[in-house]
Amino acid sequence: MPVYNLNKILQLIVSLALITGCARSVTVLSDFPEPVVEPLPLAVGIRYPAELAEYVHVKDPMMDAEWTIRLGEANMKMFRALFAGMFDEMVELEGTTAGEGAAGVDIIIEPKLEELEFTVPRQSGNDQYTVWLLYNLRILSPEGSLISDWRVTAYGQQDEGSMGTSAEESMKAAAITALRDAAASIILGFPSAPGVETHLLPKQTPETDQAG
Amino acid sequence: MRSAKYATNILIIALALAAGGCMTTRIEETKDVSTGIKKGETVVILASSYHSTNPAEDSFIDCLSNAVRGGRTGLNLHPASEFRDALFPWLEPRTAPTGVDDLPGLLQRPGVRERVRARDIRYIIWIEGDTERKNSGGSLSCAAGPGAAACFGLAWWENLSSYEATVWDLDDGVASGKVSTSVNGTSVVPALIIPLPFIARTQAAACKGLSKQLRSFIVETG
Repeated sequence: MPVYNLNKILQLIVSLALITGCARSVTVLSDFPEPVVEPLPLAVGIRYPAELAEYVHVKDPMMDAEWTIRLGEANMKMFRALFAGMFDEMVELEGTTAGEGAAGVDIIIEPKLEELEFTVPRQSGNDQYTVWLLYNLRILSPEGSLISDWRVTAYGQQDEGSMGTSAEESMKAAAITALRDAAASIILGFPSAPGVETHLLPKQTPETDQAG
Repeated sequence: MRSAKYATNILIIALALAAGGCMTTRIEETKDVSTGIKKGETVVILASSYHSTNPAEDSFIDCLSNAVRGGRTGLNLHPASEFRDALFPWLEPRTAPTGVDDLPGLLQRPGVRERVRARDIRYIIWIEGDTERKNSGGSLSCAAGPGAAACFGLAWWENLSSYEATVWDLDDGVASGKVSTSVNGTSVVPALIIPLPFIARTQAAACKGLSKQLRSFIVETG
């Protein structure tokens, strides 16, 4: 009777599962709460680029199946809730092109997701799914001249699912945590973002700086 | 005949004891100020931020949340996710208070105290800690053939589950104290044809011990 080591059998099963395993796909859907902050006394125009609303990340990491992460809808929901709570007035500049000016606003913000990176437990050797996001918030004057490119990083992690939780659900939870982290980072950092302080803070009173 | 019956009973008891694995539990409590909870007041259990401490696993938070609700002295538990949303973004990993010194700052933020009061939340319980493998050894091999399979050998491992709960009183804006638990357990899987797993469920034991102590910590005044 042939004798096999239990570990070898398990390794063989895992390898076969990887070879024949199908690709993984996650559509991140979530509602985001409006932040509990005193709104800044600014009228802000937001221009969402199409690639933010339709953002899809596809990657085939080593030692794992190919992952497709659709973040577009969650991106939009996060930014809409965030900016609605952050500013006194917020208008979406639909049908305008990047860099174009707008009347009746103090500044224009064009958010863009520049990078998404993730790791799975098999790569990192721990039991965490992690998601890392890099946004660029392009801040423009009402005339359309560039005030600054403000880069914001965000991070989320989620335990590997125990029984009943799929890998996709864990990745989705990590992405939602990262999106919430991005919102927190923007709220904390906006008053001191490059160019914002010099252009806009003189218009504010000290008690409106809630990020303290 | 009678001695055979005794031997069988002893064997059953030994197996029943062994099936739970071998565990030692230590629970400690430090109360800094008097506690107590009124009817209608609630508590919320949150994992510490992964930016600053050693956050507990989601499975442990789930277990503890279910356990503190149960029993005669069960607490009214407010859902953690709703509370995080209500205070967004001030309980996110990046922004959550890292010590009781940050609590007054949190409560002074616009709208925060009102939202805490609206939910009758009296205590926040922050949980940190984890379960880790301390040691392992032995060897277990299985053989399989047409119509037959068998395992031989012995494998063992030792787990340590250490968790700490820090209780903040939101009414007074102070730290009420800490409750900690540490459970060490050794699991063994001997196999002579059929493997017999005797698993020490250290995390479950830590959850049970911590929840019981937390309930008495909060409910009992003084």
